[in-house]
Amino acid sequence: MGLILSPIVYLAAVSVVRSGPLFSAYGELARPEVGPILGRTIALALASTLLAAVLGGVAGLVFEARKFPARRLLGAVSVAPLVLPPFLHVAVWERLAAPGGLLAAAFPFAADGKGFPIRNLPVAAWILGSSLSPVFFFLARQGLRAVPDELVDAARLTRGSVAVWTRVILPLVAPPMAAGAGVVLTMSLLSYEVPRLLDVTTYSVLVNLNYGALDDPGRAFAAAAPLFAVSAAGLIGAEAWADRRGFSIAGRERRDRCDPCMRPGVTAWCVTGIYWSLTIFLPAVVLVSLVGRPIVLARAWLTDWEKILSGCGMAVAAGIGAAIAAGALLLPPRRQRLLGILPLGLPLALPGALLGFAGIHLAATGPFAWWVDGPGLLWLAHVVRFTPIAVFILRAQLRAVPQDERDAAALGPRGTARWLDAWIPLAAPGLTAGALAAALFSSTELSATILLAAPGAEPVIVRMYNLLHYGPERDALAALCMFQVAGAIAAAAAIGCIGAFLARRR
Amino acid sequence: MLGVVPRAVLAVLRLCPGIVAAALSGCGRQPPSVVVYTSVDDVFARPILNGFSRETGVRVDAVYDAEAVKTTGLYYRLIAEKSRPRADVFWCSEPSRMLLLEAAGMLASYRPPTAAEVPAAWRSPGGAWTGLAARVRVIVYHRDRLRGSAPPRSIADLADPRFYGEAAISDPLFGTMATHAGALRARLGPTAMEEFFRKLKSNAVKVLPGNSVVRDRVASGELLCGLTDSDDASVAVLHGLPIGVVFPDQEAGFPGVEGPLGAFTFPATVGILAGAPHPEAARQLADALLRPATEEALARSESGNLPLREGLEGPQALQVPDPLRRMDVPWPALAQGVEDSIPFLRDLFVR
Repeated sequence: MGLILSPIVYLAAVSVVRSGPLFSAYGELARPEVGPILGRTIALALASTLLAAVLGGVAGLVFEARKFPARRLLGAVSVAPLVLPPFLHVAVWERLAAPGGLLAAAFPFAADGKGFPIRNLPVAAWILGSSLSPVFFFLARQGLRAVPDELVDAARLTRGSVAVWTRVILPLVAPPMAAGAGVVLTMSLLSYEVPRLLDVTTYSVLVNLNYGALDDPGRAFAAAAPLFAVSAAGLIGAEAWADRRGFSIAGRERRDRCDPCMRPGVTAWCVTGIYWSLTIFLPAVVLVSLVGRPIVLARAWLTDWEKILSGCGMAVAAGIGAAIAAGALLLPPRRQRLLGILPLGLPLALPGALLGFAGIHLAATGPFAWWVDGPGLLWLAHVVRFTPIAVFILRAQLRAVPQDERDAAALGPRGTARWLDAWIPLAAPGLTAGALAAALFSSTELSATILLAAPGAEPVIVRMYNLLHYGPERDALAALCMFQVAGAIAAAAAIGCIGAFLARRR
Repeated sequence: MLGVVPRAVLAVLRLCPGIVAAALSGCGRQPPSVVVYTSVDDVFARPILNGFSRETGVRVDAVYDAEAVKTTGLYYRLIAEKSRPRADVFWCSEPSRMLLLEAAGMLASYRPPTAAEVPAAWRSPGGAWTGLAARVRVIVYHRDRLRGSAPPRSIADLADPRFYGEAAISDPLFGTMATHAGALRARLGPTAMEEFFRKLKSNAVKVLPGNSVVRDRVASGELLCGLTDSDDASVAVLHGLPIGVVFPDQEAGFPGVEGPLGAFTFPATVGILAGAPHPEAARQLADALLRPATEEALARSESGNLPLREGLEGPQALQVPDPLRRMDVPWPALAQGVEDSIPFLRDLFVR
């Protein structure tokens, strides 16, 4: 816990120490632009969260309730867009909006000869929302799976299907959706690259510029305080509510909710089709058209294979690290006060640049100096940042473990054997899901990665971000993006294999 | 048999992150032979660094800069690492941050064998850094959209109402735009410099995250004109994008300045960090970067840099005026100008 909270403690201490008795660093908050920019940022985050919930949540529910062909494959592909960093979605929409692009052609009255106008807050919300909607897709499916059949059947006896959905299913699906909303809201609030590329000055942009221009972590943290507070409140509030409502995942839910359900009709295909078009089809088409020829892929691999593997390895290591940290905090299963767990969410609410800044200073001067020259520092930062997600997922899964299985585990062998044969196998689904989520988020983390990557060993996402600013190399960027997706899928597969091995002992 | 040490197991589990991290740092790659931090664009710096590696067998581990916080990000990273430098060489795409590092005593004194070929105006008198391969701040405009009307000839023209909401600069807190602002402050004085930026602001100039973004938005026709670096303009010209390039202020016309103000011209700079972990390899790399072949390679590349040495061939893509009138700025005043400009620019533009 101390390790996870150490960057925040460090930054807060520096902001107070450098402020002096009058807390001058916090004087930044009196600047007149703070209020409007914070309001704009919250509006952007709320809009993108709402869009993500509607797009991903509805598609996830429909997908889970209908018997789609190639269901498992489609389900996995549907969350794959999470491995595309949001700033690449901007590149995709820029291409669609450029003069002669799809949007400009479809809406010539709006394009005005200069391309479709995308540099505004609604488009930023749209891009953030669509890029983060797979979070809701996944959680909506999980939530629907966890709804007890007997409850639905009993409701059907007395009510129509609309009432069953509104009075039974949706209230039971609400907790995982709230948990997803907390994460998406936080990611949207902290997003720096998307609003910056779309000329929308948000509070995160303001914080990054302050940090970048001033080299004063105290003032930067003080300036970031409102954003940090709003992010933390949104995240922790949503997670606490979901927790109190008994949100559980990956436990004893039915393996396939739609055994008796219907094949998808036109509406179901349309709903999921819109989701797949926006999150998968459009980016894929643009990326493939940018790559053009296979030789571009080969060239990208030959030039940057070390970075591609580095990114993949970092995602696996961060996922495993976060899962181990979550296991160390929550196992063996016991009653834990919510208040003791919730502060763990704070690192997720911290702007990435500040986390990176704290990492550099702690590594250069503190007890972590011996890690500086290797990838250990970046790994540690990713573990610190994404352990809260693994903790929340593991906690939700442990809640679904039947009491009789816990009792049986407690009666079994003692010591290491109990861990290997009881606790870890019982928690394996949660550990695996937590590791997967941490790995996916780690693979697209940029702000801290730019600052903390070891010389010559930066993950491929840093190279991608640099290429984003070099127009003529868009084909190389698209090729690297494909490798990034492949690397993230390989990382997820590796973690899935480890999880399956652990779960087999259950 | 295994059930006697649950606490030990728990303790090991709790230590696992540390153990994995230790394994990652200990079992990863060997310590790099030479570490270079560079704000020169990845696409231009990488071939030169790779060539050095092939030639010498010395492995180069490079940290490149992100466009949006150009140079400034690496500069502050170097300062943060001052007590335990990771970098051996700083290859900076402009001079101001190198000058500030020199003032902070963070650079070692080293005069490469070929440094004498570089005119004295482009290197540190104390040997802390040496310049190479200059670039120029230029104006780019969209040829088709501006057909039939005169393109801007001076940076002051960006405040012309003709370009209201249609002109762009990169973020003046970072990169070469910050250096340009510092240079204007040093050359014109604080009042005139602040007046210039206020006029830009009141003309609704777009502040974009990087010079390449300025070029791209102008090339796409989204904006009419913008202030950027000559290498960004060179890339656009070579790729057939519909832009025109102006070397600004070659004639009189900048308000309050007698005669031509001149175009701001600045070299890339190379310095070795004091306390560099690999000093011998650092000197080898500095020697390689500062030889004429590097300047020639950068002039021939899409970057189209201007060689500082006499007699080397210049870039092909851009029609550089002959002679090019340069804005005259003493280096110490430039560094001070950059430092002094930040609070004003932050107040004006970060909103």
